[in-house]
Amino acid sequence: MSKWTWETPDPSRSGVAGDLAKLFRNEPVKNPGILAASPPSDRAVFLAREVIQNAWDAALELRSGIGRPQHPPPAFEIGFTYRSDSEDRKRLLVRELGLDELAEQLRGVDRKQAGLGEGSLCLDELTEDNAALTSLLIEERGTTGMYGPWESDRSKLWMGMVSVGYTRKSAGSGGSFGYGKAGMIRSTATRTVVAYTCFKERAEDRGVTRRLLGMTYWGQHKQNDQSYTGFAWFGKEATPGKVEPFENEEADRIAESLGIGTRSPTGWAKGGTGTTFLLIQPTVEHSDLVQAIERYWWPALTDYALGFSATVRTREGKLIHPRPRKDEILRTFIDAYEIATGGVSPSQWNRKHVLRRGKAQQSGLLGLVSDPEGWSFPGGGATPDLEHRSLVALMRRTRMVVEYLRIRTGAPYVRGAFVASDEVDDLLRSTEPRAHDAWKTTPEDQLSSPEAFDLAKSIKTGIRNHVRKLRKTIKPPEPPPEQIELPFFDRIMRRLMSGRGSGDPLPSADTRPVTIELERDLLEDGNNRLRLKGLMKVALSEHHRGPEATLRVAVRYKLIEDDIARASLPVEVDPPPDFREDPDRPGAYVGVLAKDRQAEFGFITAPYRSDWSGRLYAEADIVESAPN
Amino acid sequence: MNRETRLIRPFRDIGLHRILDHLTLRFGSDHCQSGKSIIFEQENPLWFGKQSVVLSLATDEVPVDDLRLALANGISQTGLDRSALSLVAIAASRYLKTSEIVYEHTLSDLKKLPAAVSLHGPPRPAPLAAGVHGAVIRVFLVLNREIGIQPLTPWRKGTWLARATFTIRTRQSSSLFRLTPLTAEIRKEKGILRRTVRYLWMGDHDPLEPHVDQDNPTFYVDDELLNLLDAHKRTPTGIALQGQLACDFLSSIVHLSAARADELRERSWEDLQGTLLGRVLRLIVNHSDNRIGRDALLTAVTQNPNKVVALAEAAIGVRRELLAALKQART
Repeated sequence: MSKWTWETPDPSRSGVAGDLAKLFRNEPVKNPGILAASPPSDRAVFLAREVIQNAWDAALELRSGIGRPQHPPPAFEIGFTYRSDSEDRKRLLVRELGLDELAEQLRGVDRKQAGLGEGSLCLDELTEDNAALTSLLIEERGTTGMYGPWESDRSKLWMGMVSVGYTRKSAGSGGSFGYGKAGMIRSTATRTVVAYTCFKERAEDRGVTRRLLGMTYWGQHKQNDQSYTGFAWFGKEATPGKVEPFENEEADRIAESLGIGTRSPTGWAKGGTGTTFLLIQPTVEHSDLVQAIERYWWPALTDYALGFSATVRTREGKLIHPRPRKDEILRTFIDAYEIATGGVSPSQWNRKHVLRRGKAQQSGLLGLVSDPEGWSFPGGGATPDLEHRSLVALMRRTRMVVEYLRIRTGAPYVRGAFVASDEVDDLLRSTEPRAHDAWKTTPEDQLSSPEAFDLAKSIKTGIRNHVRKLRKTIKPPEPPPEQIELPFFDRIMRRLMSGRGSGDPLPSADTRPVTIELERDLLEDGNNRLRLKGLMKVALSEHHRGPEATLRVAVRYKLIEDDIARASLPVEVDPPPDFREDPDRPGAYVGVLAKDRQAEFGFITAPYRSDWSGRLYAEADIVESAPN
Repeated sequence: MNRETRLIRPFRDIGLHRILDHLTLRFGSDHCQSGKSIIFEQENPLWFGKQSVVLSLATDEVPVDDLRLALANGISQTGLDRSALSLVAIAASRYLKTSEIVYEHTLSDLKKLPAAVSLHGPPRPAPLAAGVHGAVIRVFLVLNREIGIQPLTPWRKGTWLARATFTIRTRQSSSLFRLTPLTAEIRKEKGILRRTVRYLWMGDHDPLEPHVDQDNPTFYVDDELLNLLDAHKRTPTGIALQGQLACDFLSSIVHLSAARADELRERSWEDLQGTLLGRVLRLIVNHSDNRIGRDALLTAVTQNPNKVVALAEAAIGVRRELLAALKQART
């Protein structure tokens, strides 16, 4: 008797193919800023986010009373156990789970079409004795289990394992069951998941407290000319073609045969309520998974009051507790979270803000941290290609990081954590896409509530504003002008002020067309006054071309004050006969001078005090030269 | 313009006027000639106050005995008593607005005039500790007391007969004209539009007056551009832009001066020494490729200021930097 029942297309039912892994195929994980340095794989992220979120939602539901509370509610635990079975245990698992049937179904089928791109040789290895069969057990404790009668969509097991896009989760939870399973499916090479779940007996589901169901999720394919949707069921065949989960003792027996610890709804010692998943041939390495858990679940892991625990056990049996505080990047976000939630008081470079929605309602708490002497001003260092950003981890009541909101700023960079208040949890959840990795600010359709997107927008705006304010605080003041050093500009200015040239100064060649000689003498003028008397001799030099030129000649005298010649003193000039005073320039004389002649201008200044120094100016300009 | 100028002291030429021209000042390991300036390159201002400052009165060419003899002869020609004359060194800091006499030697005891004298204390004179803006040290042969009025003879206390000046600049003081961010507030205050990139605000500064006595003009550059320039100051583009801004600065000084042609005609080369225009002109004259005479250059300021700007651009040498920037852009 076959263990697996393959669905065939049925025109009377919805035509969904089983390759649910492709739901996230084109949705890469965002790793902004510093988080782009050695990020966990996308598969690990989806597994950590989706599986833990579903389990954590069930734990929160249990605590809230919807799922029949226990007093006190047990702590939430989720354990990922990697197994490697060989020889007898492998043969047992292959036989009990009918993995050889899957291999047979795959024979002759295009694996890529069947959605088995990753680890496509997986089922070929089942018959090789030397190859171990790997699997991953995901066990949750302190949750409701996947309760609900199998007859309707009230079955959580059905929604968690079969349905696509159904959302019947309680308020405030992480998302819909339908897409959550895709995180698991992507993490198994065979696309095979077994769920064994235990829950409290309910009135609408009398007599049942455990169920076990296996599903294989391949793409649509053909085998022996028969088309299959890709869904394969592992359960008991109630009627031909209709499979139901194993229940109670039968479920326990099957679980035990698959190496899954059995549960009892009445005893914590036997696992209690909750669900165990078995993934055949996982594609996510344990270290990758640990990193993904740390990156997205650090708020829950570090907030001990939440009673949240996640562990990973390696194939070698080593138990690993994710330690996000040991990650120096995540530690900064944890610091911000503790500031936001009041565990730690903000220090000089950190801030806490309450974001409000209107005047009364609180939309959440924001903690911001910075390190002016460290990562806020990153150098090139070991991560020169990274595009640094200010980042704020956004989260809701589930305490999973929905998104690391990047804020486009330069240095200094700021990191933070925003914890949405419970009052706005549902609204924000409604803005999240199916991967729950953002709070969208614009609705995708008219059915969406504008209120929710406006809220998301106002939160993000508030966060950005506070980030900018903190950046302004820690940003060193703009350097005063004297501290802006521009080497080339400064070098030019230094040359300007020091009088240095680009080379040794050369004496300027004396090519003046006019020569000037001066004779002068100081005369006492009585009453402690002086006069300067002298003679200015002007001639055309050898550099003048032409036999003669019209010259304008002037003699001036200025008294010196503070090393500058300032006040002009009247000068009486006695010009030669052929020079006349220039009507346009009083004090200047114009005349024609032949090249072989010399014109002599006698001069004497007006009297001035005998303790003044002065400067004498003797000037001769060529007004017009006669041609040769 | 062909011009000759003469400084006329109010007494007969007594031969002492240039007797201190050979003096040198040693500041740390740097030597400064009389009338020159040196730049203290250390960035840390504290180092300025730790440098030794030594005034050398004697050199290989002028041994101290020769100086003593020259002073004795020169003083006797004046008819003054040696005891009325002193050699005085004064250190001043314009920034601190303070000056101190750091050395004084009465020439009645010429034989004890040393070959070199330390000026740095202890205690360290305040102007010599002004590490940010530097100091000026002036040495004077000066009348140390008033004597009876005698025409054509120095008589008033403080009258100098000879002098030497040494200027110690720091990197900061040498770059007096730092670029200042042109912010929104300043734009509003000065009525400058948003798209304006640069603006030279002269304030009360007169480019034809000694700059040491005035507040510096402010060269504003768009704040965002200036920040980016600061961040990319060593890139070819950043260097080229710095050179262009320096050209703009010099160009503005030349054209501002050219607009005052009537005043400029009254000024000589010597008058303009120490003025901003004088600095620009001296920069041009000192350029090794230049053959233009001082008078011609001064005349060109009023008659062809664009040529002066062109000469200034050649003097600061931005061509290579501009080409480098464009070649980089091409690649």
